Amino acid sequence: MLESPADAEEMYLDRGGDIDPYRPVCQGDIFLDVAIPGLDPCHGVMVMAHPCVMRAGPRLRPKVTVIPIVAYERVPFANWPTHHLRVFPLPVLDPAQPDRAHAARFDEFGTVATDALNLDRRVAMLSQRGVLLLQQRFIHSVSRAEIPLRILLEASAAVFEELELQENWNLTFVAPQVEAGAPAGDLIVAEAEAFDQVMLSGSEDSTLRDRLQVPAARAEVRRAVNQAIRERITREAS
Amino acid sequence: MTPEATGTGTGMITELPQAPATAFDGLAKRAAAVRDQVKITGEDAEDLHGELQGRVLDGRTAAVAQGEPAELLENLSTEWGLSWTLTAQLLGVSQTSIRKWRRGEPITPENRRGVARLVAFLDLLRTEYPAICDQASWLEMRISEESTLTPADLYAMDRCELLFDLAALRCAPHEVLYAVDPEWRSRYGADTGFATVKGPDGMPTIVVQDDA
Repeated sequence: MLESPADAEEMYLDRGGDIDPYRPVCQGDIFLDVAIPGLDPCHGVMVMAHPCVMRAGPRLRPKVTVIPIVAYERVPFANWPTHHLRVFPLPVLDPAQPDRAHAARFDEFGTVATDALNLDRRVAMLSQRGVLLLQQRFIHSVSRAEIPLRILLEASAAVFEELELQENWNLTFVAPQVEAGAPAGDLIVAEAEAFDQVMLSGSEDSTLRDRLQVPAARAEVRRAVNQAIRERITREAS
Repeated sequence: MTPEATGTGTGMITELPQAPATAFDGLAKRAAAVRDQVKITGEDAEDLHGELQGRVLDGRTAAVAQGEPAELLENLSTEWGLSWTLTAQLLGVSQTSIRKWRRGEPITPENRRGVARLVAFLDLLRTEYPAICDQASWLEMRISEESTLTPADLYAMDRCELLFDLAALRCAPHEVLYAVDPEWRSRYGADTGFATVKGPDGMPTIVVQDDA
């Protein structure tokens, strides 16, 4: 059976104003003021490409698949499994406007230039469960297959882990400079390269990125990245 | 032999000869009594042990709780190797809450204690169950291949007493699963009809379980 969140809080990682730019762009991210070529104007767009598809190495590919977000009726959570199957409901997208509901439509697709996804325009990011709910609902809409969230998580867990590690990296090395007035964009791109080098380190036959695929090795990878952060801080301080 | 009308046929009931009481009868009764007593004592000891472990955890929690919540959260990430997502799951809060606390936004006393308790729990695992070499990794491993439940799930269910028994190998994985939920096979069974395997591009691929 298709699943639903317990409440709106559970499905968003962050939403509303002041979304920080440090988390890499991910499936389910919502941007405003982005037009999808060939489609009617919409409230915003939701990134649909899987994180590992939208990147070539540490950089985003030039174009990314998105779907439109439109104003939509409020869908009770109890109705998620059985109704409105062609959309992904987005309750309380903006906490400042709790009475307004939106939805991402599965029946229209488009691609936009990655440059259009300016991080200043990102207004919401889905939580891990939110992304899994999106995947489950989208797969159902295009294939009628109902894949359990646990299985979807198994397939994407390593990617979620890496996103979180990269966000930590950016919070350590980019955020202080941004707070001092530097623009985030170029710094984030440069640090993506540095982070990628760390993820490519490890032993000859197994990089840290490879080891993220093994559930039992993930804690060790997290500690290794944290150690790399500490070493760089020490290096730069001396 | 006495003929007996059974109503269903002409069956005969045979009266067996009475065996004389032997020393074994008395011994068997005494063994049964000892066994019953051991079982009751064992159950009492189990309850007492569980309660005492809870108090040990409470004591450590009180000591850890004196630290700053933001530092404790950082400690969970950097020293123990927990992800923020896993931390949120273990504490029973949303990922958004963790993000807010990391930014220095206020944390309720209840959640502050929850953070301290998690640090204390991991520390207890490290000191009292040294056979577990990587506590964070252990939390994320399935209890049994037949179930999706992990020690992290049990922690989130507030079943630390089962986790201590599992860590000490006092309980078999299946005993733990039945203690969590007698219906665990239907609720938390690993057989979903799908499996994740390594795909042709080296990335995880979802397949129907028969093909796994």
